[in-house]
Amino acid sequence: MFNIIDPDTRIDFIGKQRPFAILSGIVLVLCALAIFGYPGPKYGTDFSGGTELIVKFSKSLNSGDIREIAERAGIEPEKVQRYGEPSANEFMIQTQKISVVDQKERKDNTKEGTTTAEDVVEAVRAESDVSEWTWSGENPNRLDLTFKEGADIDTDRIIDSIEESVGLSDLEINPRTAGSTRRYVIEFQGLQMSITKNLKEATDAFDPDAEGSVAGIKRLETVGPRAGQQLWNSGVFSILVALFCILVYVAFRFDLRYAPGAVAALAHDVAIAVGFFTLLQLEISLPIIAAFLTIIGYSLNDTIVVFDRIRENLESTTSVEHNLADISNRGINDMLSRTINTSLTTLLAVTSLAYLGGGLIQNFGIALIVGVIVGTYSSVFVATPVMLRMDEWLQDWREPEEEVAIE
Amino acid sequence: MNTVYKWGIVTVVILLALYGLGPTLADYFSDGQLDRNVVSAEREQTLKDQGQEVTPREDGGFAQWIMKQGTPLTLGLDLQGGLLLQYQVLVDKAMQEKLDRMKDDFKARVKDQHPDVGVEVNHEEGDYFIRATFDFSDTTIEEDGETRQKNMGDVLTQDDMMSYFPNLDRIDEGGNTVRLQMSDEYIDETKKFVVEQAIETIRERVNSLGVTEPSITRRGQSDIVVQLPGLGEDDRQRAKELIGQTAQLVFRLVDDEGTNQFFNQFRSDLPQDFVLRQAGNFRTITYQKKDPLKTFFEDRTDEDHIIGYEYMPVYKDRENKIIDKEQSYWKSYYLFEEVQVTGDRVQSARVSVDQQTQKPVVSLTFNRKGAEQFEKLTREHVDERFAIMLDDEVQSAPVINEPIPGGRAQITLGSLRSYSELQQEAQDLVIVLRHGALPAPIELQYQTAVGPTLGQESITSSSWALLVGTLLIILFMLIYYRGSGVVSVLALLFNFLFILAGLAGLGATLTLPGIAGIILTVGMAVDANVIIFERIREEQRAGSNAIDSVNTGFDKAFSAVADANVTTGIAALVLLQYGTGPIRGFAVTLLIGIVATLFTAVFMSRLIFDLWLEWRSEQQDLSI
Repeated sequence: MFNIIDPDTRIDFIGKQRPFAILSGIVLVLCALAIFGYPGPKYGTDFSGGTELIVKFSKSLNSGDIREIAERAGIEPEKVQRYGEPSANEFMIQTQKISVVDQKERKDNTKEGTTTAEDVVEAVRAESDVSEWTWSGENPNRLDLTFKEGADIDTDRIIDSIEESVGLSDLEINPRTAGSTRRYVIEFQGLQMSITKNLKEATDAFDPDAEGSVAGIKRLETVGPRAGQQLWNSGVFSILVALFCILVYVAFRFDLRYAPGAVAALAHDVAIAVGFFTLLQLEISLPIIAAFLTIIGYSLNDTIVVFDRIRENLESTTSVEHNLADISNRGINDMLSRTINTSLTTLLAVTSLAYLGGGLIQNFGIALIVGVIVGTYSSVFVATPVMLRMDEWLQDWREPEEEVAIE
Repeated sequence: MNTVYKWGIVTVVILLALYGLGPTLADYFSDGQLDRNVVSAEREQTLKDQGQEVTPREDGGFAQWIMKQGTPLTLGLDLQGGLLLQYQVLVDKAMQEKLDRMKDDFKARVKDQHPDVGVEVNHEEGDYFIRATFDFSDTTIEEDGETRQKNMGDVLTQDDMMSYFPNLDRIDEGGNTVRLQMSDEYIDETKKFVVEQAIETIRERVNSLGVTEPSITRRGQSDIVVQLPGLGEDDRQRAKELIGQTAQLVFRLVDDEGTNQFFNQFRSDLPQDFVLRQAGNFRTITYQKKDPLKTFFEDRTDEDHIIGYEYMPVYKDRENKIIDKEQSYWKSYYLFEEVQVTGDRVQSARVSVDQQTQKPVVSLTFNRKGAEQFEKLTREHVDERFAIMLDDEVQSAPVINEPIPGGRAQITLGSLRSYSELQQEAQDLVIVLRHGALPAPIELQYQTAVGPTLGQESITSSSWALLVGTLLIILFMLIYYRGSGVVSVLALLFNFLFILAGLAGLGATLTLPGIAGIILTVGMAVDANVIIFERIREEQRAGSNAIDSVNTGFDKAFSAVADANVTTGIAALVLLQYGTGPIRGFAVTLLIGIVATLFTAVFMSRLIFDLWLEWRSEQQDLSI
């Protein structure tokens, strides 16, 4: 028989829990500092809102060139990063922009090149009398206008005026509903359309020799602030719901004293995984939330297997130990080779995912690697000790009650 | 349970899985692509070049027969490329717009009937009521021989003023101020309807795009998710523009005089299957689909005319409303282009019963402006037809019997139908009239466009990850557990088969996170085997013989395996409930994986073990 772990291994995990508790504590504090203080988690486009595109160029360019091209195309890039192999000439560009109109009013700190709704209204006012207008960041592609009573409305001239002074093209102005006389709505060209058009022009202008060097936009994603908020809420909510359901299941299936241990281990794992992503400034996006949920499932899997063994040892009459700590320690040791083997096989799978899975899925794999390692650790060093504490606490709590009952 | 029965179950499950996977295999091996057809790539291109539809099941042979047995595995948008759009229906904007119009109309009506009464009407953006403050200081009224000032009762009850606003409740606020509140029921009903109508409209427009498997779903209260797999870069903008339009309800006149001559002129050059029909006194041209009709009439009408289309369902079973798709058709109307009345002039519409005929009819009221326009229309065109239209579709085309002043009209529907049919038809028309007047704007909230090359790259790289990960695990299991390792590898391979068959059978889509889910399942599936094998080893160390240790090992390990899988299943269920798009793909894969794991790693591997123990000689050690 080939063994990684000697079957007779008896390591005193419970007795040596203190240094590990301190280690977990320090790591958790570090993670908390990183998450709530500096540098803070970095959210993907799907949560923070904005636009992300992956562009393939037919010519070899560096990220400085790409940044300049993107700026000329009016993208205002936040981040420009090579995507995939250097020979692929592919770049990922991120921006916070979600529409051609960025904000409502011009402020002192407004950057040059920003288009505000106010600018557009000014351009309209040059042609006609506007009494009211509304624009909101939630619906940035439309601007509602009410003209003054009796105002002269020539939509063609208004469009020309906006094009000339604000530089926006392909917009439409229509009555808000058929037959409405003073209430109008201006609909702007979508940002994606504008990017598709401008990026090609800007690239050609940047390097006239390399005409047509935009070989294709491979992926283009725009998330409005409302959708981002929705996605974020459902992500966080799903993690909380999952934790709660699992707590109930464990309490029901095992015993009340096991449940807090299992959930503490899960919370520990998720916190460290989020902290890891924060410290390395990897983006937390929707698939990463799914990975965190999987970590919950996996870590629990590990914890349950250990708990199951402890329960079995507790029930078996041959048990020579008398206190729960010793029984638990034996349970952990019994399952040690399984714990290691499973972690190894799962690690093999997720490592190949992170290494070979390609750009979009790489971070997903990394999250799972962290999760598998931390999940294995926590089932031994977090779940069981917390369970023991819980047991002590329950006994302290029950004993005085019993004394009262005897009197 | 008898071993024979157990093997019977295993055989049946494997056969079912192969059956479920059949179409997928046929699809893949026809041209190396999961494109939901067994047509070879070259033939597909030829068909597309000729502008013909690619029918998924046309190759005539065995592959076609297999394809007919089910659905092949579908690739998600992230793997085959395409466009995902999430729209928010701006329900509140539409409601506010409606209240604004009611405000104007209320003021106009008061001014009309009581020129001496001063009135100030307000509607604050965001409120669901309008507030009117009257000034009666310059008014007098004679009553019972006495002279007094007018009061709110005179204004609001005289001429049944409130009946023009059936959806507003009157709440007196003291003094000469009244609040006209939109009822909660009406708000809820309208909001719900507005979103449903937006979905319907979008569905119709998407269908005209010719995308193979579009999906339009509602998400939450007021969001609509549109998925257009396989849509190319050139079509994206067209799709967005087409979907983004709002439907308009309008009233147009039918050119009764010109109709017959217009349609008759095409008698000789009608495309195949187009039919020139006689309906009552009028000619019309019909076809099974709307779009070819539209294409045909394009450039064939003059400036003053347009064509409207109406769907004429033919029922196979009238009672249960089963439509015979082969027989049903679209018919065309020859209409004047000029819009007579726009839908926002409709104040209210409801189903009522005609006093004379005792049949359901539609009663509708126009606002003041609308009443004027409608009166003019009906006075000048008695005995002609007018069409109630949503976009280019005719909802109903009633005949004008007499001039209708005052803005209260009654539409009588076809006479040959039963009471319940009339009732239903009236109800449908009421919905269109009531809410079609409320074109809710929609706004893009989220959009992802994935190019086909990126999808292909994702498939390639994730398949590699899957292959390499699986091989490494197989290697590990064989080295560590030897003979028993072979059992777990067999179980793993069947696990694959069941996951893919499950995905295909449930009609789920395979997404990038879904492939990640399969890889993860592979890792976790061997976990069940590891738990069991470690337990068997333990029993052996305790001195049990091979048969006993296998039996005890499986029995004792079961609770741990089951618990571990159930808890992972809980996480997957939560993901399925709250996740979107690709994430749901991951959750579905994980769930199917859990069921498959329990079956293969526990049930099947035990059977294989039993067979193995029976077959090997007594003295031989268990290879584990």
